[in-house]
Amino acid sequence: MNEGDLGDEASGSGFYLDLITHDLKNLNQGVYGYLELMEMLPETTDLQKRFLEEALSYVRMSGNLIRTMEFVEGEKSPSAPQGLYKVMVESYQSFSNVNRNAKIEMDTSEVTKGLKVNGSRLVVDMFIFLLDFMFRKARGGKLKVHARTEAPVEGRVQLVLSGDFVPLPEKEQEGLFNEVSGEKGTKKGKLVLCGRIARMFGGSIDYEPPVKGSRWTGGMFRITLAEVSQ
Amino acid sequence: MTSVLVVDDEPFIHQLYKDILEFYGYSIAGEAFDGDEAVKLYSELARKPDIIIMDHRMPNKDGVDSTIEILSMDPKARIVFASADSTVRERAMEVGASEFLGKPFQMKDLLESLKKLS
Repeated sequence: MNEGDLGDEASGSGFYLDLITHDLKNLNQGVYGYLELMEMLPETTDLQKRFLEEALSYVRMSGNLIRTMEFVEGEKSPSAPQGLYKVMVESYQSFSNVNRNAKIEMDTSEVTKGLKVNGSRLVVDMFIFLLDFMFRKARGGKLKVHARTEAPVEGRVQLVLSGDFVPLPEKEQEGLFNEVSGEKGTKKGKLVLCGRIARMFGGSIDYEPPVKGSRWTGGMFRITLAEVSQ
Repeated sequence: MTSVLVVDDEPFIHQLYKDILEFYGYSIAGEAFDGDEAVKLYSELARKPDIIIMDHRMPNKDGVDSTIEILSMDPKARIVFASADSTVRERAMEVGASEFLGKPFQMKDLLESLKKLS
């Protein structure tokens, strides 16, 4: 049976979501594949730059696909966009051949609300990278993460990430986005790339240590991103 | 040098495979963008590829049917099935694929599969 036959037999939203998920997985293959290739190379080569550009182009395509579906589903039901993030998360969960024991609880409802307000493409892009990191970091343990966006200030958007970064010591939390020699190819690699990308776009990442009595045991990352128009 | 035939309907996936395969010293025996093209190309290649990377959901003919046809021509063909459709894993292995990778997979897993079959 080919794709045309499948289309003829299709009915209901199950097939519709199946197609989106399939396309997202293909795009994610481009993202992860090129990031992995990038990690295999020394940092300063031209080839590494090309691989990063390739990875980012698939992140953007993935973001565009999600936004298109948000628009289409939004026409049917005002609450539908949240379902799309579920699809996105499920797509990332398909990466389970790497993270068999990963467990994550991620509250993205406020991110969704924020995205609808500011429409920043880069926030979506970063969010995808962060999701990847969270799944990797959660290996063997349980991680609770709360992500939200704050209103744009002077053309910039803030993505705030907080959670229970257990069992990661506080000392290690602070430097999560920083370049560290000898970290290539490790589970930290993707987050280092994430920090590099934020800085490439003139953004910044600030860390605030855990606060006593806070809802979360871990610290908080305030990721400031230059807003990118469509 | 191990040669690989790349079969996938997404041009960007071809580029990704070519980037990693060439980086690791594999040669590209040919490229096909649907199942029909893959079967035709395989039958026409004077020097058969050592390994085929096969997608599933493609126009004209899917990966499972293409695998069946290629293996009927050449039972020794080694096929790494690489699909975003994990429901086809069992069927792919049943019809004779040597390995199955569910997209998105890690490049190191692809390299391991190729090394195993080389």
